[in-house]
Amino acid sequence: MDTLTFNLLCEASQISFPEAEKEDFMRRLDSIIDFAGAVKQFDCDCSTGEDLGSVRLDDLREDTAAQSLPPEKLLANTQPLFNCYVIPKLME
Amino acid sequence: MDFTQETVKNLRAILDSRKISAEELCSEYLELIKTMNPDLKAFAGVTAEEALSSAKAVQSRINAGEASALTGIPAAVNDNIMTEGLITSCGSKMLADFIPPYDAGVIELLKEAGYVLLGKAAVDEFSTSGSPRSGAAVSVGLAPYSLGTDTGGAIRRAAAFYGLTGLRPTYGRVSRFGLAAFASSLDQIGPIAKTAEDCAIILNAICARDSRDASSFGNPKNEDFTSGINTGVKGLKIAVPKEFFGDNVSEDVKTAVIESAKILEKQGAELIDISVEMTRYAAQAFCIISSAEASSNLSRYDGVNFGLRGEGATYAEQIEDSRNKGFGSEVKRRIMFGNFVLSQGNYDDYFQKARALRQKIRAEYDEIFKSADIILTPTVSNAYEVNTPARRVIADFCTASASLAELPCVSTTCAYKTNGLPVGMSLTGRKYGEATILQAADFFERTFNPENFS
Amino acid sequence: MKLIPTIGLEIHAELMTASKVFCSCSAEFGGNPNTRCCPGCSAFPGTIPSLNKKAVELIIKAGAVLNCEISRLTAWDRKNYFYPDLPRAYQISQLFKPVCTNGFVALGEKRIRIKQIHLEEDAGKLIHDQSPKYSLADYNRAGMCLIEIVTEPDIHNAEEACMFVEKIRAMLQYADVCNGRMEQGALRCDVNISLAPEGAPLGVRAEIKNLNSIRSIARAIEYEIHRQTETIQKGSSLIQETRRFSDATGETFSMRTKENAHDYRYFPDPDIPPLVLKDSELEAIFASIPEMPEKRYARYTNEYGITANDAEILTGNKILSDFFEDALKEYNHPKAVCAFIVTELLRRVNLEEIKLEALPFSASDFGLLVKYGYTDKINRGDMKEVLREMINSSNSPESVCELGGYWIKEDLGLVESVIDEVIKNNPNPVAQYRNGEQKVFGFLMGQASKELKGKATPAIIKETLEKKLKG
Repeated sequence: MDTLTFNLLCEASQISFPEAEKEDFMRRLDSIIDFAGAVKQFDCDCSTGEDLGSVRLDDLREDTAAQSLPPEKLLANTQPLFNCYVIPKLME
Repeated sequence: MDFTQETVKNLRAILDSRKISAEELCSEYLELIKTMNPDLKAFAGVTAEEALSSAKAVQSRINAGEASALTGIPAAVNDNIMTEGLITSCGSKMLADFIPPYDAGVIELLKEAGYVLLGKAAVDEFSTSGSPRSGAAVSVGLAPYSLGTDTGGAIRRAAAFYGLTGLRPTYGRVSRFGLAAFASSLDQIGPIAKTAEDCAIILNAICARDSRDASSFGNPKNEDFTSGINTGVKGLKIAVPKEFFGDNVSEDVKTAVIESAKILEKQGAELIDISVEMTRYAAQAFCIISSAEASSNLSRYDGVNFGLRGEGATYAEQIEDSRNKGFGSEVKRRIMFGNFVLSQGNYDDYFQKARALRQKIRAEYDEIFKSADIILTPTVSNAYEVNTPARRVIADFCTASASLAELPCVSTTCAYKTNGLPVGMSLTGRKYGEATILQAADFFERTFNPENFS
Repeated sequence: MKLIPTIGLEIHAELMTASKVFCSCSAEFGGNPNTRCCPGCSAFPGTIPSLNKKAVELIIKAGAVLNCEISRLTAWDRKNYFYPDLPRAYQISQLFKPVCTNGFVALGEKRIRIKQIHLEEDAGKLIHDQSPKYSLADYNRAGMCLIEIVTEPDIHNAEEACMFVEKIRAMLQYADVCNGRMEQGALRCDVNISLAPEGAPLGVRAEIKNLNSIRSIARAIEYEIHRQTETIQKGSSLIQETRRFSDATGETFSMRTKENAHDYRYFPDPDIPPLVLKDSELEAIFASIPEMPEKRYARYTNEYGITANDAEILTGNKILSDFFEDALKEYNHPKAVCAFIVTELLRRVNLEEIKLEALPFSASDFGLLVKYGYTDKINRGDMKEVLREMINSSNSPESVCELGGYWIKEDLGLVESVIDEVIKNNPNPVAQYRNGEQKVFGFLMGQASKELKGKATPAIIKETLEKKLKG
């Protein structure tokens, strides 16, 4: 795996690695990619694949509004400000 | 008197006969947990106080003769299943302090049944690797049963590793609402217990349609999953696929499962030799699909709404720091690999191929079930050596196949090796065919005498 | 070198549902921060989206009125990206199997093709002005039902774009799909625009995000045409980018995001099973679509004899058209009701004294007022004044007329004495009339009416005056 691909994956995953660990991690990632690559040998017309499980219109949820969770319960696992979730200031 | 080694079924009779109160029974387990858990670490958290008070509360139901199958019977629940007001960490630093404001669908059902929660069973981080940890509590009698989760085989592997019985129900039988998702199209909740009969009793209690999970199917025919218990195997057609008995499975495992098949045949089952060709890609397809789904499912963990909050001057820096610190390396690898197979240029080669293979595998299984009732395979290809680094990543094709095909699968012990370690065999059924595979597993358990094998 | 602008639109319309698209939280606009939220729309672990049936019915209605094909198998996909207004870090949308495809809207002779309409969830709201150090996230809007209408690049100027959006807005209002309130963000528009010489391949496109009024759509397009033309004519090259429009300056500016390099890694959402729609279900939904503006227009012009111009005004806005129809239920005199709407009601609306969406009186009260005027219960000239007082006091037309003394009282003795006085004070016109100069009658009528305002109907005054002049 080249560094560019690796960096793109880090970006997509919002995960980063210290320089010293990068190479090892890339190698471990390569090993799964090699392993999984066996599926490429499988010859199929993949575009026709339909998902088997499906639902009908009547299975869907009826449109009635229910009580929401009180904000104090919802926000109990974080430190809110003005009942909002807090993030560093975003530049618009 | 010590009742901690009893089955769920026996505990029902014991509680109903008032040999012991629910509270006393609960205390026995808590005592044992106190002694053994510090070393065993089978529980991530023990909820002693809550357990005792709920045991006390359900006694009146037992006294009034209104107990249902699980009333007053203690249980362990995997720590990736949400329990309101109780830390549910999913085995991750990310959620080390997370207290969910709601119960999972299965927990609501168990509460209605009057169960007694002893504590949360330790799991691998977000159940990534499907290691057998969740069976530990049941294996030494810290709980009569455990509610486990199975994406690519964790329940069945736990059963095989600890000499227990574990059932992965048909995808959709049990509501996933409140199960922290790893791979949504593969995750299922199911019981790990001492016997197939116990698994059937527990499935009766946790199987219900839940409108909060669109894939939930429940039990529309109101089946009793214990209906086949103690009825034998006469006339059952058991398919034995050759791909599961090749070079990739260790000799002793193969021999043990074949011997078991012969026992079943002797008792009136019919054995059929078959082939499921596409299962040779099952581990790869599983690895691709589960990682792709996981990479997306685990994106919500950014430390903003809940969970470990990292540091950083900007939003991007902060969430990256949260994720760097919160996730372990195996989870990171899965996320990165999942994003790899979903990215432009790889999507068709990996993800679409894996989905197509999954459909092929399903089609092959459908075909087999036109002429068979059960497919018999080893549970793990190398018996107990599941924790080598390579195995941890690469899902076992034995368990992955049933997961991909969304079929019910029960693992029970079919032999003990000379070193005393158990060997598991898996019975896979047709869609919604839990009663049949439990029937066969139960029969085997009643017939099987380990003494004869060692 | 003549440059032709080519424009495609993406219109986001919020659906009129009671609950959100994937959970049961209220879909009402606004609310205190995070009070319309649950573990589901806040992306807590273990929660699973549960699709709203009405949302599916509404997008099918939208597809039907916009002449789309409706897919019998439709599915949802995840669009993966990190942004703090998106709690799951993926948006549930439709890429591979949208509900509606291949539609069109007719603008006169021309057709603007619609590529697809899909159902998706809205994001939450970020608040930047409450704290100097932090931005705050409110998820009340997260998970609201949205449809995205994607056109083909068939539009070539700002005027066409605006007409198209107006038309879409009216159609969605008529079908009870979207309330169309752009000021609340219930309808917003992204504009894709590029310029190229006639016959040449399409130029480099800019996407202008989140325009939330017809006026900003027009201004943004005009500005972009100007900017891109200048750039091309200077010989500089354009870059494909996302831009934002500033209402204050009337300019667009680059958002400088990595937006275009983004790989959203779309894949089918494994939590939401694909939906299979039966013909019978679609037919039932089609049958429930209310009368559309074209049909009403035909009825107004053909049956009611309303002018084309007035019919266009009435049907151009569903609320107005509904108001008109409801007023007719009180007083079935379409021309009279229409005239009073067009001349007076809309004047008040344009002066921003009242809002169509929240009128201080009902359509039936309005109809009643027109009836008073046209059946000589009050003086027709007083209708405006009565309406104004209805706006100010929120009283019924009946009590306004009562309190303000607008009722015409039939006092025949008074009529006679007033007319006697008029005849006495205007000997010359009276003489002219009696000599056969009919046209002075109007003058005398006016004199009498002025005195008798609100005290006699014009018919009585006329009758008495004629009688006296002859006698």
